[in-house]
Amino acid sequence: MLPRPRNVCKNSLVEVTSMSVSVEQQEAIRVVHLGGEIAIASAMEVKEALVLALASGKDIYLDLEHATDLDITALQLLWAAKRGATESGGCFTIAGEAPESILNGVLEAGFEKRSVGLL
Amino acid sequence: MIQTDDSRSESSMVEGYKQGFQEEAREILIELESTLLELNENHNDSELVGRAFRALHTIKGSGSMFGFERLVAFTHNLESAFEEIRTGNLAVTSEIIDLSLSALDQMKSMLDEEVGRGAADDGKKEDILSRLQILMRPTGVSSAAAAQPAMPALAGPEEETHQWRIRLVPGRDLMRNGSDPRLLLVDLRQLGSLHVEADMSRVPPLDELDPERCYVCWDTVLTTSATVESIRDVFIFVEDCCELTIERMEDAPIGVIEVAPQAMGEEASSAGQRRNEHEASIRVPAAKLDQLMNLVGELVTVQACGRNRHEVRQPGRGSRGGRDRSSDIGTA
Repeated sequence: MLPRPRNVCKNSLVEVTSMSVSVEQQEAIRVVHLGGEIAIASAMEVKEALVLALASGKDIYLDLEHATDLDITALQLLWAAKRGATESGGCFTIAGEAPESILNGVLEAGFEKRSVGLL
Repeated sequence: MIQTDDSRSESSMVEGYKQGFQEEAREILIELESTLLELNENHNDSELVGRAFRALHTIKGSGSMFGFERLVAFTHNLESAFEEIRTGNLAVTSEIIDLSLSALDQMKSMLDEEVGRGAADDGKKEDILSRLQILMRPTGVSSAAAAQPAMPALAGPEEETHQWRIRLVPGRDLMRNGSDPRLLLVDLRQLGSLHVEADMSRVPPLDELDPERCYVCWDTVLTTSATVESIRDVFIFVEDCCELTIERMEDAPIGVIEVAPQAMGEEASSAGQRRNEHEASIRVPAAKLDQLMNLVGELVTVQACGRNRHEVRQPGRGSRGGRDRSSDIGTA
């Protein structure tokens, strides 16, 4: 297996081959990038990224293009973030399209795509 | 990096379970062998027959959890034979005991094969299965028919399918302990068709959320011919850190609402004339029917509360309405 680079640059988009979490700050929006296998080991990091994005009060877009798996801890964080954004009148939605495997995983775990921002 | 370790630990966990099953199955086979030898001394001992049946049932159930499909299929046939004996449809004979002992050896070979120790002899397996089928055949069948090749018929009569409502409430440390509830859902899906809904009602606001704790609960409906024991076995490794409720839904898996022809539209009514009364019904999934019944229940409660509030506001009576549910609904 090829060596996997570490995520060295927080709050910016980085080369994603392993798990990576970052928040990209644009003028009017925040983009939360999740890459690789997002599981319990990175749950705290994902929460911090989502809290940071929500605190901005901007619309939030979720980039899952490089995500390969979202476990239950990740899905419940996205769900809570989506609810938080909706309650404060903001937007929390997918940027582009989520990979098919992610969408299947969401449905198989009994979640509605919309509830975690994937629609 | 961390994720690589995680996936590695997950796959090693599965390997651990498989190895655990191997060890358990070998122990069961040793006990089963002595049970069969005892049974050979006393063909009428129903306790021994029951013990043999349960041993085979356990191997089949656990084996299917861990993907030992060939072993499971083979064991199923022997289990069916012992079910016939248990229910008095088949008598214990030395021939059946001998055949069962051969089948045990075959099962051991199949277990060895799984861990790369030699290959099970498929010819021997077919021979055992066809002899078993002949022994299980009701007496009076012609020898020509008895000589038919074995296999599919051995699967036994089609088992009855039921719907089970399964609710899983994970304990706070389920995921911290390395379990993944999604794998439980995968295992349930192997038993039949599964409808899953995640219950998010316990998820706190984002900033209060402990990110490593599983707040999600699952409400599922499983349609399967598997026994409740097999369903429970899916949760065997997490039952100490979960609340699990398994309920069989009513015997009729589909709720049927009879619809009176006059309650239907004109077009439907005229169509109804061409049908008999039994056909004037609609089929609704039982889960949907339950949901509708709950809604009707709530409606009745709210209506009762509203009436109560109306009554307590009559002159000369004190108002107690503020504390009941009617306070939540606007005056209509």
